[in-house]
Amino acid sequence: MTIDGRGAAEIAAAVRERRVTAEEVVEATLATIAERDPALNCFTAVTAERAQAEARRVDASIAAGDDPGPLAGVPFAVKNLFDVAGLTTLAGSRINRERPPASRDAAAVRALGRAGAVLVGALNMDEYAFGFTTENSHHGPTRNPRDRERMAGGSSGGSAAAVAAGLVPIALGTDTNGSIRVPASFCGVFALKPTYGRVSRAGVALFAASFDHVGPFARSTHDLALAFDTLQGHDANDPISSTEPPAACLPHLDAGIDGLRLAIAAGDFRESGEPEVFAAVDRVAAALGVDRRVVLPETPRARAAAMLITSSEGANLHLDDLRTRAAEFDPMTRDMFLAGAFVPAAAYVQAQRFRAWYRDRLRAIFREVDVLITPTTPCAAPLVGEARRDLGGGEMWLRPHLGVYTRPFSFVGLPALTVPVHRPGALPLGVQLVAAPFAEATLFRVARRLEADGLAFAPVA
Amino acid sequence: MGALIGLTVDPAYRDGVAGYVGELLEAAELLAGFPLDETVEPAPVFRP
Repeated sequence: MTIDGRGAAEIAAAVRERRVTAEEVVEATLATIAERDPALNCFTAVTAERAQAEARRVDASIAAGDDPGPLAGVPFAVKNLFDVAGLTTLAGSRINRERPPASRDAAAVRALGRAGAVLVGALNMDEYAFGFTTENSHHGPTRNPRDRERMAGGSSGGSAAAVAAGLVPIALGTDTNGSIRVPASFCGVFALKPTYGRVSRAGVALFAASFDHVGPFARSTHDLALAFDTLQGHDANDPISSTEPPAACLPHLDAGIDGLRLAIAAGDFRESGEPEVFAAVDRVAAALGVDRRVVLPETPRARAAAMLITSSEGANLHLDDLRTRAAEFDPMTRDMFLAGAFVPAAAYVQAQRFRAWYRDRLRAIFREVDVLITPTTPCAAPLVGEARRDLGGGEMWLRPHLGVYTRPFSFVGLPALTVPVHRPGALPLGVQLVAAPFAEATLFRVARRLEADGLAFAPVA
Repeated sequence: MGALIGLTVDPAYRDGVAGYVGELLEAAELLAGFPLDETVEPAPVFRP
């Protein structure tokens, strides 16, 4: 059995049925990474010895007649802000290289490991997760596997690109303002930003604690649901972890969309983007038979509040280093972190109060709507280094604008799943599905329907 | 303000930082212009 391009469920089934060993899967994966990653720069560390040891444990468990778990022998990799025992948690920075290696894995890494998955490495990202491009000055930019002249997106760019390129079937990232969804859109893969507090962040280097989420990337809805179901649940070691009982998504994947109330986000979600992103939304809406439109209130203020909270919390976290060694920050993030230190306390508190107001308005909308459909990004993947573009309202700075459609939903912690719409002869584009808190299963039903219809899919690049 | 929080911005970064501070202050102004009832409390999650 060849491993190239196989999905997680397929690999796990083959390993469990002894058609291939976990060790063979790991060796094939390491060979693929060695061959393809130098041109893409997804990985900042490859944990070959650990992966080989874990794979042997999975094989031994199967030989002993034990249940190796639903992800038996499935290779995965994580953004390099997840603690990995024995590796220094870089969080995309140069400064953190001085830190000692992590003593244990992050909770999410342990959860996948308990399910039989095998960690093969750590992935590139924007420094301290502040950015949408993974044009990391310390580790080099991650290239988009669908067009290497283009950016992978960020801040979880290595995660999205590694999955799109077929280096791993599953990867983990984090999302504060769009850092899972933006790179997934650019690289043309499925990805989920779960409800705030749904997946443990214990052992993850934070960026802005009010908004940080952990979530998975995959090339199919089935693999994404498999990963999410493994990850979700309460963890007392994460202070914001929800006590809401886990709600498995995989059993509902093929439940269809009958009875679901779907709507297109109108108003601000139909502005400030390339026409092709609205065309992608319209294709998805037409396939789902949706013509209802809903206008969300005060979206520009939601974005403004999210920006203030993010900048302020991020600057606070790194204030000591900003005071004493600002020159060692990535020039792509340094000025933004420094500026965040000057946000007045009154503005920060006002933003957190507005957040409560906006959450209540969106709760009201999601009592009437089950899934809202929006673009994920305002354009397809830009060129590496592209700084300015006219997206309808005159030329603007492109990089901060890439989260224009994702930011309002992470601001209030709603679950959002981006599906890749592939277009013949053109780069893929993400379409974002958003639901009420803890309604991830509903998102999967809609995403699965789009996948089954052949509209959303994620081939290996 | 920098002195208050013990943060000196290197002159080489000052223009870039000033640009971002300007954006943040615009964002703050946009929010300040929105009427919120006194009963609306901040939203950070904190469980004692």
